[in-house]
Amino acid sequence: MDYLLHILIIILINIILTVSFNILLGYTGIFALCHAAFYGIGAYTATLLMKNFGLAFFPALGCAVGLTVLLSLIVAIPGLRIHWDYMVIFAFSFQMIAYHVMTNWVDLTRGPQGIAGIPPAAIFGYSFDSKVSFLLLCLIITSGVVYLVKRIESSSFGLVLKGIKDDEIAVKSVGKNVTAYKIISFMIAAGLAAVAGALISVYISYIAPGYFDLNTSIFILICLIFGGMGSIRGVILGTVVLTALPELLRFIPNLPSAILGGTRDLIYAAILILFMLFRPQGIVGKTRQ
Amino acid sequence: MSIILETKGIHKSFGGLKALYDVDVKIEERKISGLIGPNGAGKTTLFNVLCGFIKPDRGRILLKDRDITEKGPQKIVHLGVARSWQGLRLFENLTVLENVVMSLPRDDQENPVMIILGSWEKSQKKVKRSLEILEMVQIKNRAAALVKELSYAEQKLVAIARLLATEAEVLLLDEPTSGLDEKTVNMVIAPLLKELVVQRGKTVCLVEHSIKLVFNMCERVFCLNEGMIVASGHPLDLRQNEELNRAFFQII
Repeated sequence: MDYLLHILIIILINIILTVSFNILLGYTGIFALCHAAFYGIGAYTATLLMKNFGLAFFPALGCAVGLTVLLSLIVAIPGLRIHWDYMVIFAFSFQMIAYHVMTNWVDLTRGPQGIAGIPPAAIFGYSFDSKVSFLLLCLIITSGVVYLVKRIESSSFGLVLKGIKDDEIAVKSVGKNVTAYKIISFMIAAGLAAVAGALISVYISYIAPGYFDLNTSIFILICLIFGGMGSIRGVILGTVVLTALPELLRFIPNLPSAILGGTRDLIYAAILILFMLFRPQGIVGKTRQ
Repeated sequence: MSIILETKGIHKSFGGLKALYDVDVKIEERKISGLIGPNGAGKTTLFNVLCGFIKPDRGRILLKDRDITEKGPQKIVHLGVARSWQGLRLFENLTVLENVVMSLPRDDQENPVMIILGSWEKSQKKVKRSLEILEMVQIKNRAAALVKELSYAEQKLVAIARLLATEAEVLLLDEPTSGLDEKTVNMVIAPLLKELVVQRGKTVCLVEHSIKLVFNMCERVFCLNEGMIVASGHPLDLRQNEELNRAFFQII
């Protein structure tokens, strides 16, 4: 039962990552493979504030979101003014730099060995230290994030983002400041990734750079491609399936645990290639009739 | 005669190619002007320069005597000049109504948080205004359809609707009738353009290949060839110039 609750919690946290990445790639069409960097910045900020300054979870979460949004401007302001193909490389570089900072700034992050003993989330003296209570907390926060993204999708702002994805020059020709819209969407997506980061840190009570590397950014991307970019339902479905699927591998008899990770990556890679080739709109897709 | 938009000595080269050479045009307020010329004459380049998509190498652009040469496209739309595209550039994955709603200018009284989180469908003012525009261009019945499902003629009308949604005073239309049958042009486009000028106080400038349409509708025509203005004036005066007739109008 604990195992099932664990998977559900991870699914909920991953949903925050994928629906927020969907704002960037699914709506605005910004291909910035650095979402795990924002996830990590959120996780480390919340962790350090809780462990070193004794901040409670929610204030630490707020600060983590604030700092991540500010740091996202490092990528957004220069990156979104250049052509999209340079932006891809720019964002990729940011992901690599963030990972190396987490690994090498040992005084602050304790490097590859990570930070352990992160206190559980608590509010007004109530601690979410049981799996059931933490699952409920994640359910509330994830539902809030999904609702927020849904509202963005159906807003005037969301319409302009979709317009940017279709034709950026046309959006300029109707008087919209494309760069400003892109930067705001980037800030929102980064801020939401930080929420996921704060949640994962208090849940596992341990963080290490390996959680926030390029593979995680690619995993988020695959969830979008699998489920269907631009469709919240599709993205959630993609996240549920791809988070749960590797867990099923554990039940395959005689599969040595040493090759479990490799098998999972192989499945992800196969899904990525097959979907790009045969169903680029994903399972649910963005087909509107 | 009141000039609303004016260029003074515009030069633009792409590498060794002189796309515009010393171009002076004066667009009169609340009139329909036309820009004609053979393919490659520089008509679309001039539109791009007027709207801030391309910066001229030399020369100035004045909107109501205000220099807008260095302004970006978005700012120029706010100041009152907007354009349509020859290739339409519609948002194909959005509906007709969505295309128009998103092109409306931002309401200053609108709360920025509501712009990001409020449903556009619940913004009565925006929806009502958009439907009025769609009715004016006679495409209201297709408001809920995705643009990519429309016929080319319908898409042309959506492009005009989107242009109107910007609420710009000066509307630059790049080949609004190309690909349309004569009936649609005469029954829909021509009366619409006249209505925009006469009843709505807009200023219209057309890039057109149809000499007939330009001469019937425009009060001033600029003839552009190889990046230069070779003639300009009232269509009747231009028609009487036999040399121009022979050398220019027949090659368009």
